[in-house]
Amino acid sequence: MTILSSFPLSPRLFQLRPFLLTLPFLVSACNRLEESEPITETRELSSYARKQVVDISSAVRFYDNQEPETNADESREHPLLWVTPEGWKEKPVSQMRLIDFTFGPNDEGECYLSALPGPAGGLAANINRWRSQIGAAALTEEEIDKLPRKNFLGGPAHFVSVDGDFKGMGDAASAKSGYRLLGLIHQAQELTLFIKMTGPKELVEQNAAAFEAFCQSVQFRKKAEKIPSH
Amino acid sequence: MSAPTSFPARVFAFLSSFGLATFVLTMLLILTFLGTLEQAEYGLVASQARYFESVFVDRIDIGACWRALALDAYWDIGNVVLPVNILPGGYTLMGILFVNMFVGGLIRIRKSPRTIGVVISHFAILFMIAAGAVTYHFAKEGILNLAEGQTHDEFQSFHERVIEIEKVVPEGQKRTALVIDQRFFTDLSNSTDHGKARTFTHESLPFDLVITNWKQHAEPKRDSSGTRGDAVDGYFIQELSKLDPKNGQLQADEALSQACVAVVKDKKTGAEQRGILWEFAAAPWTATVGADKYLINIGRRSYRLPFAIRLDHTEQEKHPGTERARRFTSKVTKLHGEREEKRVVTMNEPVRGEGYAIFQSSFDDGSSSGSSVKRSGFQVVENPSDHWPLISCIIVAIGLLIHFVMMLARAMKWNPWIAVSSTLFVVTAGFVLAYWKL
Repeated sequence: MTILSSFPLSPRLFQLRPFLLTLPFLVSACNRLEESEPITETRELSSYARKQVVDISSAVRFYDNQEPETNADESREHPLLWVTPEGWKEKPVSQMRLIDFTFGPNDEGECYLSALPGPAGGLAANINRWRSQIGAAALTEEEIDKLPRKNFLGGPAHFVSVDGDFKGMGDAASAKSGYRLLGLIHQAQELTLFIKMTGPKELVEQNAAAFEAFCQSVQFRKKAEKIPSH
Repeated sequence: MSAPTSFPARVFAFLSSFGLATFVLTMLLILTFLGTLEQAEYGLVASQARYFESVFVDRIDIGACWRALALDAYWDIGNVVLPVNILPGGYTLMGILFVNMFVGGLIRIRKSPRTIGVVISHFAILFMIAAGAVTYHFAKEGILNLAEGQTHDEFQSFHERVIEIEKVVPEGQKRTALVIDQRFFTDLSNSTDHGKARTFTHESLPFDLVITNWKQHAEPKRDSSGTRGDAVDGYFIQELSKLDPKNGQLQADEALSQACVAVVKDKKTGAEQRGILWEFAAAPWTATVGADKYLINIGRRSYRLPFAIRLDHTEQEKHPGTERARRFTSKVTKLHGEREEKRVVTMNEPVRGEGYAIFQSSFDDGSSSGSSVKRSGFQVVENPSDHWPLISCIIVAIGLLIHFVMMLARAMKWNPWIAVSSTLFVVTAGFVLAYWKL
């Protein structure tokens, strides 16, 4: 027998007994919802901290490449449009390479476009990474500022041209000598786009105009299109 | 010896007694046993906090210990949890041991040439316990991940999470973030509409921030059906198992990705905006209030270094003819404003200075992610008592050496002082020679 049942209650109130019994728990739950806590701690961010990126969509924030089901047909479309230079062979799109080509008599030249969310480690880090892959010394911030810009997707992009022994991700022993690397880095608000071309120096020289034409041909399929992040 | 009669004398006798020391050491043994077993299901960090850093152990999961001993193969007892709040935790026991050893091993002990070695050893053990307390209260430990060419002067805690609110300011302007410590939101683990929530306020903010639906390990999932009541901007928080799908073992705390729902309530209009905060998100959630934008994020607590570190080059040496890593080495530059200092960090050879030790912790050649960016992970430790355990071990060794040589000299009827002096001279010379040659 509960305490409530020992009191003379009207039948209507008696029907409410289960609710009355749970009332204390509901009240305590409401109290939790009203808990308030002042924020007392602050910190100053470093000048090296990641740059502020604003209004990033949930899909980009959560690495969600899947389009809504209603747009299933559209999602199969590539988010970019481009013109493939004559003589270049297009390879299947991979997660890291949104556009991927090989060129040259033995496909020894390659050119691809990739995209990473946010600043992707920063402009200097990426340029110097490319330079280290071809055995060139790192550039200072001032030297990077002086690099030429090319128009790409309606904005300026840093252009890199370096000669040396190309080792890519391998070690120095596997480096290919007499190579040239052409690169374009475009930092947009939500992502960073890279176009990188490598190959024997002469072959790259022959295809420099094609590289330029390809870069200029790239455009978003739709004006508000977003590149899927990886 | 007659039993003490006055109350202070009895307290003194109790605190310095062998009985108390035996009890404390037995309890520490039990804690170590239980903590090690529970670690299999709860993970290192949770187990350490419950058994070794606590004042009292709040409960013992007998079922987990049973399973860790593989006894469930014979008899599965299921989930048996003892809500014990009287079992002292490691923090309390170490405190009692310190008092016991100080009173008994330094004050009460008979002081004579024969006990000098024991007194020295007791002092060194007290020093070691003090080192543990200093580490627990003041040490900071975390990770600094750098890509080649990248510079940074902050490292992130391994285990401490925070929610940060940062106002968007023009580039180049000083940036400040409001920080909410994890102890204020890690209890908010129920569903959005019916569970726990807490409102965070600050006078500089034009809104109140409500945090709810916190999960220790989760990821946002697209609400494809559009039917979920807890969906925010088309996504909901999907709780994940903390067990590694590859081996079934509990994942390390560092591998867990926390998530929660944040609700921004405009102080003027009362209008609400909801966003999901996720530790592994590519970018913070942006809330717009009036003309201002705010970035809100959940992540690891950041600590500032008194210098910046630039990763110039990192490389991996492999055992000849194999893919097995032999050595990771990073060439770094320590930046103190304009001044630059070239240093090399490699496995087991950290760079030390200004109260910090920087260890090579991980290496990534970028091949797994396909990015071709080489990265190094540095473990950064700031510990005022970094070398204290080593020093205390050396002092313990010296104390015990003195004691044993004293005993040997007595038995052999040698002059104890000459024997001790000679031994210490030989040992010291040996160390000097080894240091010089090696």
